Amino acid sequence: MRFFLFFLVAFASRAQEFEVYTYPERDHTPKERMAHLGGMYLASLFFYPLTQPVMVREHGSFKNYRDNFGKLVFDQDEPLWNWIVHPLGGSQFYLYYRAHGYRPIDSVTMSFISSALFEFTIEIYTEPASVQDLYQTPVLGGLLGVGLENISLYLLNSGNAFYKFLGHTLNPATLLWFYEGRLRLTPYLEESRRGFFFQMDF
Amino acid sequence: MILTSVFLAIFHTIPILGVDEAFILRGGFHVVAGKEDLLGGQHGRNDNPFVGYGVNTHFSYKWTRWEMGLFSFVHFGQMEGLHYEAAHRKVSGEGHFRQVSFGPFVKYITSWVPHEDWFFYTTLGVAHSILSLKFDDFEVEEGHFSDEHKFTYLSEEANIGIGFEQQKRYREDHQVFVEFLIAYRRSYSVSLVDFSKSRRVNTLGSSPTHDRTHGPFFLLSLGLLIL
Repeated sequence: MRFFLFFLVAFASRAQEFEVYTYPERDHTPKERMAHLGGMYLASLFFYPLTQPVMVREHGSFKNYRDNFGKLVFDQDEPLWNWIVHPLGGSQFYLYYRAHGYRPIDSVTMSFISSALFEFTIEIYTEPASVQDLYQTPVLGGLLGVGLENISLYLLNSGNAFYKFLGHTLNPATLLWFYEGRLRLTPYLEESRRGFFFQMDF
Repeated sequence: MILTSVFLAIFHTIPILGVDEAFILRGGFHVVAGKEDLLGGQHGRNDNPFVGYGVNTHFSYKWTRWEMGLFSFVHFGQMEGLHYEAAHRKVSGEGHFRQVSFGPFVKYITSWVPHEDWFFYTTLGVAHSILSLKFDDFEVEEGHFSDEHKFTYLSEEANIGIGFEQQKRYREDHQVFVEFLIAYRRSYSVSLVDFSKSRRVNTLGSSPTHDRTHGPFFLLSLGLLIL
C-alpha cells in the first residue's frame, strides 16, 4: 500500500472572484479563535511527519514523548534551522491567521500560541521544546510573514497568471476555503494506493 | 535646579499619544562591544575584546507608560587570540561567535521629551543566552578537534538601558527608537558540540565553567515598531 500526494495545478481563465486581494480585518469571538487554533494544530500534526520524515523515523518515539513532556531546553541547532526553517514555518502560521482576518499583531499572538502548542505537544515526539523555537518561530515568522504578505498581495493583484501562481505559492493560505477557496484536497482510496489529490486552481 | 528638572521629567505627567493597551512588536539592528574571558581563563585571565553586530526583536504589551514583554538579541562577531583547554583538548586560533539571548524586560516611558515626540525611557531585563564559538583558523595542540566542532556557552544575563522612542498615535507610523544597554553576562556551562549533522547536533561533552567566564558588554540599538 502506498501513500501518495497527487498535485494538479490548473491555470483556468475563470472570471476573477477577487477584484483586489487584501485582508479584510475583523474581531473574532473566543469560539472562532479556538476553532482556528484547532485547525492550525491539526495541520501541524499532519504536516510535521510529512516534512520531517527522517527525524520522525529515526528519533521519534513515545518514550521520547514521555521523557520530553514539559521539558524546555536551549537547543544547539545550527542557524539554518533556528533562523530559516522555523521562521519559515512561523510565517505560514502568521499568514494562516491573516487569511482568517486577524490583524497583524493578533496574528503574531495567535502564532505564539500555535507555536507553543506545536513545541510542547507535537515536536516532543522527537526532541524537547526549545526556547529559541518558542520565541523565534512566531516573532521572526511574523516579520517574515509581513514581507511574504506584501510580496504575495502584490503578485496576486498583478493580473498575470504566472505571478498569481507565485503569489499563491508564497502565501498558500490565500488558497484555502476561508479565503478564496481555490484549493481542493480529495481523498483517494484504493486497494493498493491511498492518498490525496491536491488541486489548485489559478 | 537639575534635580528638579529630573524629578519633573520622570514624575510630571505629559500625555503620551503612542499606541497603548496593546501588543506590539519591535525590531532593530544593533552593534555590540565588550571584553570577556570567554574561554575560561584556566591559565590566568585571558580577556578577549569583541565587537559585533546583530538584530533584536521585542514582543510586548504596552500600557500608556509601562511596557512588559520578551526580547531577543542575536549578534555575531569575530574574536582573535583564543585559547581553549578542556576535555583533553588544547586549541588556539581565531574564530567567530554568535550569541542569542532571550528574556523578559520591563520598560518605563518618562515625561522627558527632549525633541518633538521623542520620549526618554528606561528599561531593565534579564536573559538566558547561548553563545556559539567556532574556530575559523586554529591549531590543535592536544586531542582531536575539527572545523565541525564548536563550543557553546549557556549564560545568564542582566541588562539595564536608556533610550529615546517616538510616541505616535498609530502603529502604521512605525515609531522609531534608539537604545543604549549595559549588560553583564555570566556563563555557567560550556559544551563541545559536533555540528557535522546540521539537523541533529551531537554534544560531545559539557562541563561547568565555575563562573570563570563573565564580563560586561554594551549594546547600541536602532529600530522601529513593526506591528
